[in-house]
Amino acid sequence: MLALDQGLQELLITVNSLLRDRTQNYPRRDAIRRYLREKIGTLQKRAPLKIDALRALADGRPLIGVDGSVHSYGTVFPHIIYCFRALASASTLSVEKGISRVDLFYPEMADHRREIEEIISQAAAGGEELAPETAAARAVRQRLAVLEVQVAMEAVNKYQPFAVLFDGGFLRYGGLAPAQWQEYRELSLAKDVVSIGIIEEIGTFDLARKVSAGFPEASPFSCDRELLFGILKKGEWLAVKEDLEFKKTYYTCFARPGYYPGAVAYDFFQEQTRRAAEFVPLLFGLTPQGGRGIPQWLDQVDAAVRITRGEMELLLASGLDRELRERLFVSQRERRTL
Amino acid sequence: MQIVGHTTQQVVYAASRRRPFRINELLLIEDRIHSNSNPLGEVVETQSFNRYIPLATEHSDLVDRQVMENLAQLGYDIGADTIHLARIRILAELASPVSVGIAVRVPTFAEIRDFLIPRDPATGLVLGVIRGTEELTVGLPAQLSRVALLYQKDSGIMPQKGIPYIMDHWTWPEYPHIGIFGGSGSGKSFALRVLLEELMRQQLPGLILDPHFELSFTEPFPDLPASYREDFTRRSIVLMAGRDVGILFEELNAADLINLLQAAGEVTENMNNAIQTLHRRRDSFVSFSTRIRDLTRGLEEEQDLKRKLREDDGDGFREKQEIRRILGLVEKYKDRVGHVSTLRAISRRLNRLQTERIFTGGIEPIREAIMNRRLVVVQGPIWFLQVLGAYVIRKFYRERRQYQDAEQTGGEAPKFPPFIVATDEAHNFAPRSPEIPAPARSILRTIAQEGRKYGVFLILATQRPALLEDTITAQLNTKLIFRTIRSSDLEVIREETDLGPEEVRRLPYLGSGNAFVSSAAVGRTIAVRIRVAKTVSPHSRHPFLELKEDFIPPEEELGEALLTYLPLGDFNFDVHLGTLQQELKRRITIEEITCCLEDLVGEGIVEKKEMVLGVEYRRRED
Ligand SMILES: Nc1ncnc2c1ncn2[C@@H]1O[C@H](COP(=O)(O)OP(=O)(O)OP(=O)(O)O)[C@@H](O)[C@H]1O
Ligand SMILES: [Mg+2]
Repeated sequence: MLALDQGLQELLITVNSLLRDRTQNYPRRDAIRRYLREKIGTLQKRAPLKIDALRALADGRPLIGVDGSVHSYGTVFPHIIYCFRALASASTLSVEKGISRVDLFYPEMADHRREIEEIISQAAAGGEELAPETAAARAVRQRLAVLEVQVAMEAVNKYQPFAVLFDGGFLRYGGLAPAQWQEYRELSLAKDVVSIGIIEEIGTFDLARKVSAGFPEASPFSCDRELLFGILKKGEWLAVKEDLEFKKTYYTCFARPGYYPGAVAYDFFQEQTRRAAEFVPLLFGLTPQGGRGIPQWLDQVDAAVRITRGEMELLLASGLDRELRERLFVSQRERRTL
Repeated sequence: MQIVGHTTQQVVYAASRRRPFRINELLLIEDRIHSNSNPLGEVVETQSFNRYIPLATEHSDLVDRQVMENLAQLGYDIGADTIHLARIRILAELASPVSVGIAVRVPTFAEIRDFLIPRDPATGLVLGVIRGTEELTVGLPAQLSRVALLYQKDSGIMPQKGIPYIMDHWTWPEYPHIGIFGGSGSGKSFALRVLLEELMRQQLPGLILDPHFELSFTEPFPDLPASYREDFTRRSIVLMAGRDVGILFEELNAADLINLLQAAGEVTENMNNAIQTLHRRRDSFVSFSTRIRDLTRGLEEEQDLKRKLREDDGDGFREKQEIRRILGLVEKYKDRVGHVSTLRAISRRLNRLQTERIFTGGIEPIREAIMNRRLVVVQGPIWFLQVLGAYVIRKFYRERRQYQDAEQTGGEAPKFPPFIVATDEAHNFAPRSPEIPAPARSILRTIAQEGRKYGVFLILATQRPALLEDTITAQLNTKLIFRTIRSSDLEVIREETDLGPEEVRRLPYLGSGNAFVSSAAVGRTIAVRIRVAKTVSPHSRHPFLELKEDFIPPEEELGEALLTYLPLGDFNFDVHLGTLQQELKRRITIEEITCCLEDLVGEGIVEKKEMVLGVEYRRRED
């Protein structure tokens, strides 16, 4: 379509005016900052990371980055193949030389079908009706989380790191891979390894709710992400008071490491709450100022673990018969673009 | 090293973790499908990068340095994830694309010999070294080693690193003519010199028009190893236009003359007729120009002269006779030569040629050199060379054609050998724009189009290929392309050669002496470094070096000379004064000498001693 669709444009304008009304009615930035300081915690400025401090923190041990990736092939359930890969890389080696594990999920395989059925019956016990597709999706998420925790555990044993960075918050691991996560938690605490979950897309509401309660006249914030946008200054972090306990058993703080005005969040195990003050400056020092707020090393692990479309195609071409591929997995839609 | 990514029949990518690729290097692709002969490829683009470190982020165009330093503190080595990537052009025609994953390796010399060496150095033109073959010299036979030494301005003569680039001139009848293109200082003249040296080695006769007065071959290139030197003094001759060579007026016919005059200005139809009418066989410059002058006078003063003739004032018999002669000319030509202004115009053009000394000497020395299979370099101002060149080339080409036609038809014609015509600034001899008068353009175009049939070949060097006559450009089957910056020239190169986009992109950055050779005979582009020349232009010295060597200040010169006469003193000044004056070709006083010696004492070169016989200066020893 060459010209902008006028109808759609008008509809969008109504959305915009709705949003504008609401944001105009938000509390002012300095009011929010004052509230944060009084009720939530302290706003701390970035302290430059001294090489000595960095060395003392690491004490000759590496940093580990953990990430996972899943790529699906096919469009119509159950003929969808999911390929998983998780990677835990130590900063002392090439990213690709990290510990990696792969897995595959295909709802038609007996084991996997059983897994789906189990999820469905578990949900039913809690009074929830799950469609097989939804159950499969949960199985997929669980597998990925399990895989990531497994490589993290292996890496802790093998490399004796001083810290492990996860791409994403801790709630996900605790929810999707509870047994493995518990094991990891005990292991890392015993070995004095500091674990940090780096959250790029903050998905929580607690902070927003609490702040909004402090400003009954103003429009309420819908989520933490919206609340924190543009509130922190560059190189500033919000050290949330220990007793607030937004997430049970985890400690979360918020930060703006670079130019991007949005905030990221860092999850720690509650037992290591006190380490945040040491580690936030490290995280700042490892995060490109112009980037999206993710430490460089984690970004590199992310790039290395990703199963690209090209790689997937090569894998499928070498592993699956062409005829089967055509019959079961290639959609009409894809054929059209091929 | 192995093939990665998408491949086609012509282009593949190869990746390597350990070994960076070199531009232009040749690699062997170990293809199972095409296994009877593994295809060769040439690296046309290289890249090394760390695939996990983004080049650009949203706000900074470089990786955050501080972050990288901190990561380094945690043990990270950026080099660890570096990947070397090469775009490789396949130098063969494949029926199907190369498969991904196939190994790539550096070939051995034996595997590429036939591909890279069309002839051995004894029978081909050794112009330089093929770039990217540096690693392939293991196993290079002796007759291919040390035949193309290299040169670098700062480091001097360097060994031949790589396989020699040998141009096969035996293919010229099929793929004739050479173009040498490149911007100022890119190495054209240098390459032309090397090419000409090779022609001499093969004893190919050639006529070189040298508007820069730089192509003589008597001075050896400095610091060449003895084994590499070569003496070209008897294979070449330099002639000065207007002194050693020119055009003998007596040998011109009317058509030749008209051609020549065109170089001095437009020749109209009327002028053309007038010359046809007035020129006689074996006319000398004097006889012809006098005829025109007299006729002009006759036409202008006809009535006057007739009256003078009638008046019987008893004045000189000779003058009357003169007047009669002039009126006779008027009688004879009046109706056939048009207006006086036509004659005037002819005179002006004639005089211009005469004052430029075009009619001094003849072309015999050139002919003789060509017949003896020598290289004859004619030096002179460019305009002169255009006129003389046009004349000589046209004449020789005609003779060559007549001889060869006679050979074929069994007729009789004097022997004339195949020959080569070479020139720098070719766009002046054959400009593209038809508005610019250029006497040599049409004959050069003719040779470009059909010279190969007669064994007549062109070598044309120019800074401005965009300004060179385009039919000629299109006929240059081999082009040596040096650094080129101007977009209009790049455009011509893009159109007229098989240089790929990667090569065209590199053209503005080529170092002096590096070229791409695009050759119809070879069917692909070869990156070449031109070898060191064995001779130098007599005036290739740096002007400041020339100052230092040829314009020594008088006192310094005296000082140099005095050092050879030491010890000196009051006792022998007068003994040496005479020879000293002869040596320096000027008057010198004793005072000047003592003064100069005192300076040398001050510089610590000479020491001064009081002796019995007075002061003595001697070389200081230490
Ligand atoms: N093959 C070569 N090897 C080493 N150096 C070279 C080579 N060719 C040229 N050079 C260097 O570059 C300089 C300029 O080269 P050259 O005189 O041939 O340029 P050019 O293209 O003829 O320039 P112009 O158009 O101005 O006459 C030389 O004096 C020499 O120092
Ligand atoms: Mg030059």
